Amino acid sequence: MIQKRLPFMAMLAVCFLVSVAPLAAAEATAITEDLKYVVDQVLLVVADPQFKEDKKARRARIREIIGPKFNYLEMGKRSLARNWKKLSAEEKKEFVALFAKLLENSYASKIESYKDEKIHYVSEVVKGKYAMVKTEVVRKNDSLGVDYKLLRKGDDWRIYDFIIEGVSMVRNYRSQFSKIIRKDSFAKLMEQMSEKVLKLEAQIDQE
Amino acid sequence: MKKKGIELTVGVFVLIGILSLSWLSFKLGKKELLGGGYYSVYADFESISGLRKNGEIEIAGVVIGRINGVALADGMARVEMKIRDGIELPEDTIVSVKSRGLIGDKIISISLGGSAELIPPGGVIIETESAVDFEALLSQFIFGDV
Repeated sequence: MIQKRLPFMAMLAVCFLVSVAPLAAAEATAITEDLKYVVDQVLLVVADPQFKEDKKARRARIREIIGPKFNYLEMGKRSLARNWKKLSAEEKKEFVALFAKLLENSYASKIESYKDEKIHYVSEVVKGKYAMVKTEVVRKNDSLGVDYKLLRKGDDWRIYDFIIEGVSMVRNYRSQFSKIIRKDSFAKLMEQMSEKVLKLEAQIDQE
Repeated sequence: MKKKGIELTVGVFVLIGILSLSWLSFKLGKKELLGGGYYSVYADFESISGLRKNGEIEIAGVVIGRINGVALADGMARVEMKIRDGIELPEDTIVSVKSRGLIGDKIISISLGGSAELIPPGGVIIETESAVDFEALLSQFIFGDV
């Protein structure tokens, strides 16, 4: 039965592509260029000798650069999935702030260990208000696939998920968060996240 | 008379045997979806290695649908999934290709999102995670970074 439907589906796919293509072509480079700019800025800060001694200042500077590009609200919302709407407005705000801190601390050391790897911007796909930019971080003997998923709000494209080597960050946290909330409570999740943030911060200060 | 009686009895038993086997094979075999009670959604993956038609789709380990077809679209694998009626998929639902155990059958695992908007019948799920290449990861682990 699928054989009969195949030509029809192929035709649909072609129609979709034809209708989206002109729009996609116009924006195709803009999103990637934008992202590239932010990534380059971050890498400049990482390589900057003036920050070598002052880790805190470097971290603050990186936070300033990536802040506008990251949609922490969307990341937090998607990570909590069905548990999000059960929260009060205050709880939502607290959670997003804490989640942002957790992410920053978790990935800070990885970003800062960057040492002249080459980043290739492989492709960009736009589907309506969603976009995905695929990149490759090429190291000496292998390459790491890092894909950025962006969401358009108004004129801005902001990151709402990372796919590293095929694994989605949001899906990873979603599984963990739902497990903790189901077993204990949202309060316990906040507690665990706070503890983790403190632990990571202590580790960083020791480096 | 006796012969006829025996033959008749044997015939009845054979019939019962055939009916039982048919019932058993129908029960145990992969049942074709009868059309009613399911709706289709689509998702594009970069790699679905091992996933085939009739592959199972689960939420929290419970089978709620099957793969109805796999096609190539734009260099990606477009999978048609038949989901049981009544199962709602929020727009930010993530579908992942997973294995049963480390090297078992490939299935699709659904991680439900929280968005108020739902994926409509015939709609496309945007958030996908492709099959993880365990051999590549293993070799990276074995040989490590230089």
